[in-house]
Amino acid sequence: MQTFEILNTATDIGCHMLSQGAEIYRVEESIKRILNAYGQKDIQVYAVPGSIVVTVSDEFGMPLTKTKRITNHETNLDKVDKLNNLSRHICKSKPGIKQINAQINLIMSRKTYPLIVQIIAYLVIGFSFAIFFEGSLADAFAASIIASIIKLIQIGLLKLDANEFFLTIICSGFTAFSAIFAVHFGIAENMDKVIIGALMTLVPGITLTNCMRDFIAGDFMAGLSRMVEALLIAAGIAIGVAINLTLFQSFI
Amino acid sequence: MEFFVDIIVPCLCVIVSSVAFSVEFNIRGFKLVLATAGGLLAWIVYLLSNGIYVNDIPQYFLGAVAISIYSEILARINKVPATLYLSISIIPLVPGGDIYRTMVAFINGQADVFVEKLMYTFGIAGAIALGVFGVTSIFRMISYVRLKYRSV
Repeated sequence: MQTFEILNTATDIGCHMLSQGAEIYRVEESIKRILNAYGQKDIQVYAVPGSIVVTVSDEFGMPLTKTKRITNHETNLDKVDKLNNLSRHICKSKPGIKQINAQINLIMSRKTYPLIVQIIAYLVIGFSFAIFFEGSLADAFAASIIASIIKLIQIGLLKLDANEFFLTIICSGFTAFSAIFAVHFGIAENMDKVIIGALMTLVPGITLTNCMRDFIAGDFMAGLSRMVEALLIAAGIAIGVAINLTLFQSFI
Repeated sequence: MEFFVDIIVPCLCVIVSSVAFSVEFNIRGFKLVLATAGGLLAWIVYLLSNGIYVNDIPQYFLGAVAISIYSEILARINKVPATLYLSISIIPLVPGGDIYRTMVAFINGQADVFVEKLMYTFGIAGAIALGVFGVTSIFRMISYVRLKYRSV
């Protein structure tokens, strides 16, 4: 096997893991162990949420570097789990490159939940958190409808390549706007419960968890960048609600 | 009736919303059940420690400690990333209501309420982070020691 082949494949696995929501140390460890299992020497791996750099030296001491930029971030913990298992399997039984690549393709083409199920999930989150924060049934229904529309807005705006900050402001702005008028027209009772319930769908759970875990593992660059991301999302939520609460004060 | 409203309803909400968040994060099969159980665990620990302390910030800390231990142990048994369980379990502890009230106080220009709510929210965030931080660090040290013994 050529050095460049295993370098490419290992970086691919790391890149996929990172883009599906794995922590930095998991990505770095996986790449390191795979390369190590195939007898590569002087392995240097550096990953931040946006890119990976991997360098190995071939038998003459000639360095080979592969850099990958990661621009699309999704959250698919199922794929992270499967890729994690794959890298364990690779280290243990050292299959050929073709086999590994076939496995990677198989994992990356795994089914996600269908769109309608995802919308229902948002609906359920809005409903249950409105009740959780002591809202009435009417509030919960309003929150669930708003939450499912949030999902549609997200899908639509992501197709137009909207940035996350803007997307959050639009979603939370829409939530506050509809909550104000739902209460104004007597559909719901407590505006705040509707807003809180529906906005729980925007909580960046993975970003928060990975932020903490990156700090724990000592990857401060990654931890900081995720902390900034989480804070920006929080700020976006606050701005979206604040604009509407101020503009439509007379309807509250 | 009070028991039903204060305990059963929130727990059901936590279960249902944890399932929904698992769907959003694409968790499948039995792992979805385990992740949901983690969310429920967080809230049960929070409820059980109710009334021991003056305010509920330590309750969030205990909840975070419980779910971290839960996810780290399950991760080692099932050979699954701990994030998978932790990211779902942590969501019931997110203080959505307090963040909202902080922001409303800010808009209304109530500086004293704003500062009070902000400190409280930061207290909760810090308590959760500290809980996860401590437990995960200890588990990392344990794995390190185990790895060392195995290679010797």
